[in-house]
Amino acid sequence: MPDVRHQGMKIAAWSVVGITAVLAVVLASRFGTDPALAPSPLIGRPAPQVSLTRLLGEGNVALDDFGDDIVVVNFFASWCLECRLEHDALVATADSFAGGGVSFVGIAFQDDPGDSIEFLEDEGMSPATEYLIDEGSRAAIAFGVFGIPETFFIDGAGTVVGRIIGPTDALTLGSSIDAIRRGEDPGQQVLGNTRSAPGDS
Amino acid sequence: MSDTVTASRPVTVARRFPWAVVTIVALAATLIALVATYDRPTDILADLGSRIRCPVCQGVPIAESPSPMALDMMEILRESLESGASRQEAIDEVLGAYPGSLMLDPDISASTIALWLIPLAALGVGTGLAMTVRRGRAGTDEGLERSDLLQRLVQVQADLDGLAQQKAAGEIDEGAANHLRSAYQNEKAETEIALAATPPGTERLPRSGRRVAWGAAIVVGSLVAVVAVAGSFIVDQPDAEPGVAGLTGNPEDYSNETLAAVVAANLEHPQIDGMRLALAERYFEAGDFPAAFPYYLDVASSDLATDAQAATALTRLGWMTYAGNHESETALELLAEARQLAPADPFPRYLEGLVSWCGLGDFDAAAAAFTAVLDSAQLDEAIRAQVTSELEAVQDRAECPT
Repeated sequence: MPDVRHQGMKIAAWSVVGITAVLAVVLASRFGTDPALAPSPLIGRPAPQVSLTRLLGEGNVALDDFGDDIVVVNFFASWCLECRLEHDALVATADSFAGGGVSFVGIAFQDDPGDSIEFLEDEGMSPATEYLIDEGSRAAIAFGVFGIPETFFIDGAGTVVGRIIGPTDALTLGSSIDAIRRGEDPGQQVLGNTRSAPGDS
Repeated sequence: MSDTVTASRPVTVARRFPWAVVTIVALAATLIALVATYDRPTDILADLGSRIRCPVCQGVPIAESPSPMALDMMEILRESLESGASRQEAIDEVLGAYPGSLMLDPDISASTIALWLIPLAALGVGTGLAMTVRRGRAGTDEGLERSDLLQRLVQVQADLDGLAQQKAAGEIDEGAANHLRSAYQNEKAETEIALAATPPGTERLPRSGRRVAWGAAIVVGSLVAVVAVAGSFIVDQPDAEPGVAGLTGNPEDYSNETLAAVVAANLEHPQIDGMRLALAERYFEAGDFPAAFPYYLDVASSDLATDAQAATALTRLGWMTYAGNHESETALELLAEARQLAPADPFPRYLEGLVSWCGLGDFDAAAAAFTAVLDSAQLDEAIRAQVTSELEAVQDRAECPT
């Protein structure tokens, strides 16, 4: 005797299983490509042409002012805990590579300039680093910043060749520069959490 | 007559200036189309702002987010549009450096096609399910009707039998009996026709607890599978542990600047002395004593350095003190400290011999040191031969060759 209701249940069950499987794959693929952690499309492309005001001193600095130097661009803010954690490493690495064809740029992200200066006075600053103000988040948007700290590497030809998400360390910074010097691309590295705004966790 | 003249006037104009009419109509149509499709910059800005997801918010369009980043993005969009950029150019200006799509309604592409198709598939499956359930309910209704018909047929037959008994018993007259029989027979015929039109097998099935349980289990299991599979793909962000990463790596892989930066940024780290010593050794081997000296000094004075590390640092410091500064006495003190920390290492003792011989001209002390080296250590044959040769020279009171 044909069982219409039973057939309907079977169809329903298999439909649920099928939809679930597809949904799982889609969700999984979407989670796996968290935009904040996905490879930056900037890598391999010319660095954004931004010109920013000095945080300390006067005048503007453009990224192409550094000529053939390798440029390390770090986004930081006084309200960012992870930025304080990585600051010693940035200062040490900038000092260590000073005069060796490597320039460091620190860009204050959505921060009051007074707070940024106080941050640098508290945590220390490298004389080999240009500290800049990102008015209107122009540089952050041009670099595709989701949160800070984030650090980008630009090779001597002006191409973005690396990105570090999260608080970095001296060994990662130095070995990335070493790699660029050897003609290799350090690519993207995820080292920890970032913050998008004050109070963000 | 005048009506005819009035009615023919437009035709005359159209015939006389056909291209003018066509041009006017075309212009009017174009104007209407332009007006209808014209997007004012403010409208485009609001539209784009409502379609771009704020990168630092949770699924909120930048037009609705109060975050500074969203406000800055809106400002860049506005400037782009006011400068004559197209919609796409304005979007690229803001999102060009961001990975993936930050559009709230992403374009259809290979990576997003599933997101578009799933709702449609769900709609289709839902419709199918609804129809299946409806059909099942319809079947159930037919089943009830068939059983009613069967019951009614039995009842009609019982009525006919009862009528026959009443007529046989003379309880009902002929006319009334005929009238009722006709009515019952008609009802019986209609019921039989209805039964013939209602296929068997559509009776209500007893509710199956097992079937419901299986269905529920499949649904719950599927949901658990979704969470498990999706969860396994979530990219966990590692905890922040800055400043110490990679200190156990091979120092040979890194430049002097990198090692110097690592040392400077991790002065208090318990593993830093290995990196410090590696950097000092590089400078020492390159003959750059001034660069090597402070790192050896740090290792030698570090409470966290192992005896072997400290002995190596003291040995190098002793030799640099002698070779660089010609301070033989100080050098011997440093080498003696190194020997105490690493008594099995013949190198400090050997250097003591050299410094005693070459720096102080103390042949006896030098001979004692070289003898101790030859007696106490497992030496490479080449080195053993060299030390033996130097011992003989010292014993012969020969001048130091260096």
